[in-house]
Amino acid sequence: MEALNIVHGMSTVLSDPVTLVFIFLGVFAGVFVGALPGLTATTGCALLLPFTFGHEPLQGILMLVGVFCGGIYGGSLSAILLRTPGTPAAAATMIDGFPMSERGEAGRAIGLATVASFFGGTVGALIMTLLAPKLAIIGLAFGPPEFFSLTLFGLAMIVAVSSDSLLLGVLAASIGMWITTIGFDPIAGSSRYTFGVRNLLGGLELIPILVGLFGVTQVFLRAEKLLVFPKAAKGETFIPKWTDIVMTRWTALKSSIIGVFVGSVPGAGCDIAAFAAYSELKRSEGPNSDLGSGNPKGVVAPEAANNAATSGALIPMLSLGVPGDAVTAVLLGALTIHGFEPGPVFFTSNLDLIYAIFAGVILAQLALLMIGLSLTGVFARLIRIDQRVMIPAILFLCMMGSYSVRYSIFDMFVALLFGCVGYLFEKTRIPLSPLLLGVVLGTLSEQNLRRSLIISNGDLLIFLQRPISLLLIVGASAAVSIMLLRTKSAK
Amino acid sequence: MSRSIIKNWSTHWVDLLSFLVLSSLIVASATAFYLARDYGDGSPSGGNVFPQLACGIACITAAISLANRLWVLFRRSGVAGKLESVSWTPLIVASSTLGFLILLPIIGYPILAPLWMLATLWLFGMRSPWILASVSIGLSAIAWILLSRLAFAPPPAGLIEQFL
Repeated sequence: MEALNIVHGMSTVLSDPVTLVFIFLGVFAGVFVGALPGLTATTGCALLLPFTFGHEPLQGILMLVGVFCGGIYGGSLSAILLRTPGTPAAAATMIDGFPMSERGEAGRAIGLATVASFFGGTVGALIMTLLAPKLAIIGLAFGPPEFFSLTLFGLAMIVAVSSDSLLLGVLAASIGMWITTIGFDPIAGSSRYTFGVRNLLGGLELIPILVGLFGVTQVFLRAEKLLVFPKAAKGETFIPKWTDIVMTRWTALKSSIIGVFVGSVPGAGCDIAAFAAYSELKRSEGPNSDLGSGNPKGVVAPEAANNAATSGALIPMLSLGVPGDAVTAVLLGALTIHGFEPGPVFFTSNLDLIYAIFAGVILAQLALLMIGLSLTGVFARLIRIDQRVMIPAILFLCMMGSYSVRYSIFDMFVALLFGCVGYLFEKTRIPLSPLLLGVVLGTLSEQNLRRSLIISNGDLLIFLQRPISLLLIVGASAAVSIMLLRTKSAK
Repeated sequence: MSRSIIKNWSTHWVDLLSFLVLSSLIVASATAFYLARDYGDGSPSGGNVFPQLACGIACITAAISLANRLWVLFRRSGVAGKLESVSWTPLIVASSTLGFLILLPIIGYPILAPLWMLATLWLFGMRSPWILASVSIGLSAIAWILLSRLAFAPPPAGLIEQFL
């Protein structure tokens, strides 16, 4: 039945060549925006949103879906080439992608990332097509305790994978969560840690923090020693070798499945999906794996997962009206502007449109594969640009990217501040990824912790009395325990 | 002899930096923990709960990490980490960027941005006059056009505002 629905959705999309052009343009714009440090898929969707108003809703929505898919993939290009992920979802790709780039395998890493993204996105769209109605029901079962436990789970995963020291990982994550408490209290509405500064009332924007931690920090680190890429992909083929694809096939499949399920949980998004897949890879590879030093599987796992999560993230948005992350929040706004009200009713009354969107996601992956493989040479050439020009240009883009969020010089100060923080943390070996995830998940975590405590009259046992919440807490504890055991055995 | 002195100095620089960063984090998180008292309403789900939880964990983990590093240092069983290169360039780049941001509303983007880019390119070792001029003016101009024509929110023009 669902197979027929996707065929019907595909015929709807293919019947209008203009829709295909919109998908292609969306993916192209997404890859371009995602590859530029400081600009994300969210920025791309927000910039292109007004452009979709005068067109058919399906065309406009699929264009933005194309930007979403392309932007998530594009973020990995800057992560691999410049160690500056355009989005949090690409931060996990950076762990192994950048070391591959450093040893002259940028083309191989990008080729694998492209194929993995295509594979993950396609598998994600197919799984969604088959399981969408059922997953929407599971999503409905999530209450505040489950959401809080989910954020704990996500943080435990990132702490477990990103640092040799559990303490430093927890330290970074807790600082990240504290940062999100600056500004208005999400429940009571009172201001916290604002000290009378008007710009702090709305809290700190995520993009300047992200740009500062991963872009400006990188500029400062390279100011000490400019990196040299001696074997900069010249004459290298960017189409991945068949042996690489075969070697990583199970990693791609497993990560796609993880990605689509994590992505389908409201609030989880592509970043947690990527880190969850990377964490699972690290667990399955064992303590002696070379993950973190340029293992191709370390590129494939997060890329397959975060692109599969793009399909998954559409489910809570369409079925519950709950955006999975910032990009889906913009897509939600686009649907509303086009006259739709996402939610359970939308999911049942606009089935044709829903399946056309899923068919569009599959076609967007195809466009991504074509653009990725044909333009890999252009992106790989980025690393051949003189670093004495490239690094100041990145700093400039970081500052302007931060300014463009709210057209505020204050956000440029925030990016600079977090660049300094990131530099000092790098020097003292405090990992940055848990800090970032703490910032991403902090507000969601606080809201759901407090809602849970209100429901239970302050009884913390509520998190252990609900099966999904208990399962997530057990998973988080297991990840931390495994990390501790590994550290102990390594000593 | 001199190489060993430089190595030792570098090592101590990293140790000192670790000590300063972790100490600052302890002080900052303890202060934030103390300030968060005022955000509560007496209930277990008040506005103080989450900040105090986050700051408390940060304070404890920073303190243990600091103690660990000091222990390693005092035992002399090895340096706290690998040797790091010491350079003032990041500090100079950060200072010039800070200066750019402070002066931006006063002098204005059209004059200041190319100058700042020029200075940054120079700091990173670029000496070719053509590249210095084209990159600093070109990038600044593209960003100005994008922000003013597409987003209708150009950065402040400062001194030349009346001429635009």
